[in-house]
Amino acid sequence: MKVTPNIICSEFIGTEAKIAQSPNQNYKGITGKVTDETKNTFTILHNGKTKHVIKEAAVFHFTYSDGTTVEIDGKLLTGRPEDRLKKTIKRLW
Amino acid sequence: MKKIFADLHLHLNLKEPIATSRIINKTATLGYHLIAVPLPPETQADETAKLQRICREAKIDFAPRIDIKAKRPDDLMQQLRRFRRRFEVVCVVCESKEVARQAAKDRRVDLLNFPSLDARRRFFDRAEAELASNSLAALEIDMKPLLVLEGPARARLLSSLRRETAIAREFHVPIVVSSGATSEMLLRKPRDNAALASLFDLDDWSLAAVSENPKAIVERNRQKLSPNFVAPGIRVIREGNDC
Repeated sequence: MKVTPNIICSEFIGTEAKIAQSPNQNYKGITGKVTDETKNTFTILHNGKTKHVIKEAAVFHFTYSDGTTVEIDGKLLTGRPEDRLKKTIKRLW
Repeated sequence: MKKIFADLHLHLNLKEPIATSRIINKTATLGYHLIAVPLPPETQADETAKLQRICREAKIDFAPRIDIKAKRPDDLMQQLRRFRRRFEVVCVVCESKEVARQAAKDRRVDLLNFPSLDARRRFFDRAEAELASNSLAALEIDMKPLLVLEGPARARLLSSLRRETAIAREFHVPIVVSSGATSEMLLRKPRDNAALASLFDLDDWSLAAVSENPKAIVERNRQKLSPNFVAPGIRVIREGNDC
């Protein structure tokens, strides 16, 4: 899978997510499938329980079906998925 | 936490390996952890590898640097396109106002260096600082002229540096203090350089100018030059099977 800056426009529901960094100690170690998404949160199925994680307060590792793991800062993912389509990130050099 | 000190401007004559290794060992002894050496654009990979090996033996981190001297802004842009991805630190030697302005607003430039001793040929004014504050460029101050000059010339240089640092602080432009040393005699300990920087009123910023600011520049560029970097905030951790 080719990873481009446009990855933030893609669908995250169904991917495996892991909280890599967070100032909130309770978020550390949360791993599981993303089951839902709102403007500011992801819902992750962790050990059979749903956990609501605030996007802005975490850095995520998303694992795709082909095994590609991508680290994405949650701040880039704020907004509803349909609104994120309009977002663009420039790699300046 | 232990501070990491860096000297981003160390002039080495690559044709004299013994002198080169002596200067590098001296910088390691003085307490530097990271050095950047300006390399000519046509430097071969094996020469860089040789320098890297010497630095590894001296237990010091090495960052290749290029000093761009352009006559016109379009010449600068062309050189930046050519060299940005080949060197970890890019410094623009500002010898004309047009080049200085272009360098200050370009995000590919890491350091702005003003080599002239004439106050009228040093172009770091409020307009330049405002442009630099919106990009990522830092102001580089070499300590070599301060150590070499004497009398009224040194006083005039100090006066220019005082004015420039005051402007940089007003516009929150990071300042990097480097040695600019061409020989062992011009090398000073990082804390000595920081103390010397108090001559141009860099009191509470002086330690950051020899440690945090240069370290941040090199770390940011290494991250961007890494093949795993996708965009700011996005990084590939592991590649899948179909890559």
